[in-house]
Amino acid sequence: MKRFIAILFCMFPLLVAAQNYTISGTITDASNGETLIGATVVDTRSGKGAVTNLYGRYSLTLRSDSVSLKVSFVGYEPQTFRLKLNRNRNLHIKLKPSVMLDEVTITAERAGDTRSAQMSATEMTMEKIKSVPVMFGEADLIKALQLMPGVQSGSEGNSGMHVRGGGPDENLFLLDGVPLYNVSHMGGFFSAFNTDAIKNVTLYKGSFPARFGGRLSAVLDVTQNNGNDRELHGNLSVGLISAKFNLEGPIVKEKTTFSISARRTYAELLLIPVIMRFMDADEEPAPDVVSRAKYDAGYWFYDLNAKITHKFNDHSRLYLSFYSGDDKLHGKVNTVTSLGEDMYLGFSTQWGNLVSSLRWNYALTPRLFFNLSASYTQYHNDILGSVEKLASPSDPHPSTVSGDYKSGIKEGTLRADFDFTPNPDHDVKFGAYFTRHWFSPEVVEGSIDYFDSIQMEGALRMDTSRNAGVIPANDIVAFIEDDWSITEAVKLNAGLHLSAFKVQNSFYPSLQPRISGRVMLSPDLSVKAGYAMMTQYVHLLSTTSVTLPTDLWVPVTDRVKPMTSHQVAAGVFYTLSGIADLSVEAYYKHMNNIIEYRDGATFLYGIEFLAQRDFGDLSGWVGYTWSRTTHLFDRPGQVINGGREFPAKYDRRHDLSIVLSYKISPTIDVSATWVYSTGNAASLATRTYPVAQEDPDDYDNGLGYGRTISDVEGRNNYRMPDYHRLDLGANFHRQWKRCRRTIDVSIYNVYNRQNPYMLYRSTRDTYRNYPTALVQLSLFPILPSAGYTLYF
Amino acid sequence: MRHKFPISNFQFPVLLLLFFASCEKVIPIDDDPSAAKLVLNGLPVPDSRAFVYFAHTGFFLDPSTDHPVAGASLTLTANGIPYTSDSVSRCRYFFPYTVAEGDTLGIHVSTPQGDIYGQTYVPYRPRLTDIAVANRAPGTALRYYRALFTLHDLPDYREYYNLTVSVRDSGLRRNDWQRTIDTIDTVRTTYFLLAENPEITGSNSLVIPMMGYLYTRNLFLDSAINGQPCRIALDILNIVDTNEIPPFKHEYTVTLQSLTPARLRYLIDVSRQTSSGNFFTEQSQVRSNLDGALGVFAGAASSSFSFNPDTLR
Repeated sequence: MKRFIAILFCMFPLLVAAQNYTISGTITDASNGETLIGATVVDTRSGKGAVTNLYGRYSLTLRSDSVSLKVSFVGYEPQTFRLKLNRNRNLHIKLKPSVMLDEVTITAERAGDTRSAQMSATEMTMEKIKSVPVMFGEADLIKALQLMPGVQSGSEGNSGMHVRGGGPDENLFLLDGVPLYNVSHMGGFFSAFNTDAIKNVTLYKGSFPARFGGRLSAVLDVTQNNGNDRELHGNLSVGLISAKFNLEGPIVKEKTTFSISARRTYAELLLIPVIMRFMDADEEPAPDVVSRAKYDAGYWFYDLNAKITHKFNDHSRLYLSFYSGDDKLHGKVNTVTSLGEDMYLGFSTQWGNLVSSLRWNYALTPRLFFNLSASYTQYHNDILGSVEKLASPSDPHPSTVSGDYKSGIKEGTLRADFDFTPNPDHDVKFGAYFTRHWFSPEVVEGSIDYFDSIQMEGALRMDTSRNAGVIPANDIVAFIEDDWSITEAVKLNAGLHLSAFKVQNSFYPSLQPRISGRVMLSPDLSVKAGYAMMTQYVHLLSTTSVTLPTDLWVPVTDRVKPMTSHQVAAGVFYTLSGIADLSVEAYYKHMNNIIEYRDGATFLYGIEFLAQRDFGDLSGWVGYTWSRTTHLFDRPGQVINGGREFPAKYDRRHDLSIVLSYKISPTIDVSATWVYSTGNAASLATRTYPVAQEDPDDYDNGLGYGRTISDVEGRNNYRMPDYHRLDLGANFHRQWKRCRRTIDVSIYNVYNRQNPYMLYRSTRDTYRNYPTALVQLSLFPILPSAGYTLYF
Repeated sequence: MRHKFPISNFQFPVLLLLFFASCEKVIPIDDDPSAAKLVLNGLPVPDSRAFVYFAHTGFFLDPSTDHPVAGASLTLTANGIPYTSDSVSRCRYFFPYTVAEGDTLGIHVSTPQGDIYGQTYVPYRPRLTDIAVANRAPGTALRYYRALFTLHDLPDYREYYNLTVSVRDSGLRRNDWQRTIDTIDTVRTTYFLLAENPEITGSNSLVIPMMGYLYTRNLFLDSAINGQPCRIALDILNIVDTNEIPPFKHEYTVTLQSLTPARLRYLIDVSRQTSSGNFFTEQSQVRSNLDGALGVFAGAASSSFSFNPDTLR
């Protein structure tokens, strides 16, 4: 290892030509000091350039000469500097936000655009997310990403992501570089990302840079706001089901900043009356229940994001990030039986994430940037049920029976990253990290506390537990990647990701090559291709199609091997100057050791088309995906569907999204979204036959006449009706002297399309429980919502 | 002056209307007669006349359960001797043979759509001795009984046991009914499968209230007790309904069934399909042990004893 590092450090200086000098620094927003990620610095004379990293740092090494630097970033006014380069220079640049975007500003090299070597990547700005019409007045990062080609939602309103046919557990969600294991609130209708707290979002669907690993299908890299370093600012929002606020400002001006955002739902104000009305409308109560007097039920979730940033000097910064988000569903019913027994039946389930990280970065030299971080993340789920019986005339002894089901995962990581820019043709990222995992897949605890009249010995107290135990695991990773401009037209991003996972008696090393390249055919046209291998060491065991807290994260074992994927992708990218960016990408992905309570393989391929316009009064995008996703489970003992290939549940042949936003005036903008996709695949048995009987005269076998077995002819053999809907939205802005406000109004599913959420066989209004119809359940009809945000 | 609209008076009904106005609709779906498959069910047990159910599958929205197959010829082979079906009633084909413990049985059906083959054996009845039942909580309203018995497992013979408790209940408030068990609860099965102690003890959790009925089922292998006598204790919940109007009668029956592996798999598959019938999970297929048809042909043999709680002290 020492030899490897020594060679590495010896090699790169050789790439640096004599009499070269480096310009380095940070690019920030002039209005608030926020660092800008992905801003470009280009020497217009030589054509050489650099892009700011995740911390707003850039490094550009040029020959000693007079240089003309053009600094640009989407949404900001470009700046030009002329300087004589006869020594290394620190150049910290502040860009002013532009009032009106036009095509001139679109010169930055962003992941996934025509000039970058990176492909299969999508960047999402907060402005773009907030311009999309929303459900319940709540802008949602994941739902906006679901409108991009290659990204699909699981089911209606769900914030799970299926990227290029992959499962929702195959996505790596990073918040300030730290994994989030559960990104869903309210069963998946909302994501855990509060848009007020976010600065930058990049989704990688393929051609993964070597610095990422651990999941098969996607990486969503989310960066939180650092906070305004000049003055206190914030906003306060009220929506249909939640309220939130964001506050940011300097603790020490231009040195130390803070940013804090919080969101809390008040959906229970609406839901509890609904629940109670349903309970009141219940049919005749059980014979021994004479009254049901008291209810107590509720549901809420909250998110809290916080970040403190301290700038020691121009070369060194410290970041402390924190996120906590929990959901809680609880209820309690009081019943009094005819025996006079007074009982309380209660349940509660609470689940959520806790994430924190401490990060220090330091520019060791103008060309070498160092980042050291320690982070901790955990996901927990706790389900509690209890029956409490009070003393009564029939039984003077109170008793309590309770059960508690817990599962979760914790992990701590130490990470060191280096960003080395020996010359404008190379941008080398390398580093290593160590992660310690603690999996608690399932802990069940029960307790009984009652007076045992049978034994007549007195009170009985019993505690039981079934504990799968804490399973520790270690994960060590090293990576290196180089963004290499071979010629003006040819660029390559090549890297290696080496990981090793140790759990119990199993040790799984994996060497994952990553490569992607770009060839510029003209200043506006490029072709790209890439390959990436990924390995995943954790599985989400889920029994349902929706995101539930009962889903379990478990590590690989000696029998359950790591999942692996190989993905190749190729595409054409074209910038239609002044009009839009166009791209067409095709991919093929093969995944092995996929877990669906069996062990099998998945084949995924498709083609994605994207036309998007990020500037002008009219902006938006059109995305279309043609794809196919099939599973094959044919290994001995692991057979599903008779060993035949079958479509995945979310195998959708066509997926189309049209998102348009139009600025009518400085105070009003409107938006519209139309989505269409092929219906989900579902297993539907249309033929039945009777249950076997021992007694030929036992017509009903005691189980109801005609009790039948369904002949499930094939997994996912039936297509649900197609999905489509139109959403409309409008934002009304008003500026006052010291603050401004936005009223957003949106209508979800404008033409009230009854989209399929699930199908079931109805047995209503029948004596013998025959199915009478195949019924489609739809979740959201036309749904207007509104929100109010005050910025100060 | 601004108007205030209380949520319950204005917004609430609107929200409810929006949410539930269009939640469900019927999907038209037509029967495809060509998709019908052959089904054969046969569960031979000792001292019963041999019969099998033979029919087509039906469209799931069709309420009729029996779909006869024309032109079929059925032959049962018992210990190498063939028997041809001699009567048919509602797709049930009867053979002139009485099943016995230890029989080796085969079934062959010849139809214009193809032939069907299946075979099984009939296990020996479990031997139960030292049966005793006691009321564990005399004088209390809602307590339970303990049934004790000894199972004599056969040596050198892999057996799969299914333990069930059913209750026959007759009273004015309820129609006379009795439940027998054709499915198992795979979750609770673990309790027995993992039992290392030859003394197998159930608890009152053995009795499971489902759909208004009380019944239980448990499955275990003889791996822990192979060839040894095994004392089994069951605590059975008293289901006396104090609101019931006399006269009423409860009769509990404890049954221990010895299963063939095919019968075991069938029970598990049926249980899985039944339990997967919620909104969010998919139905699983019930596997067949027949060549050429859906269904099952698998033997079992059982022993049982009954008790009336009114007679217990």
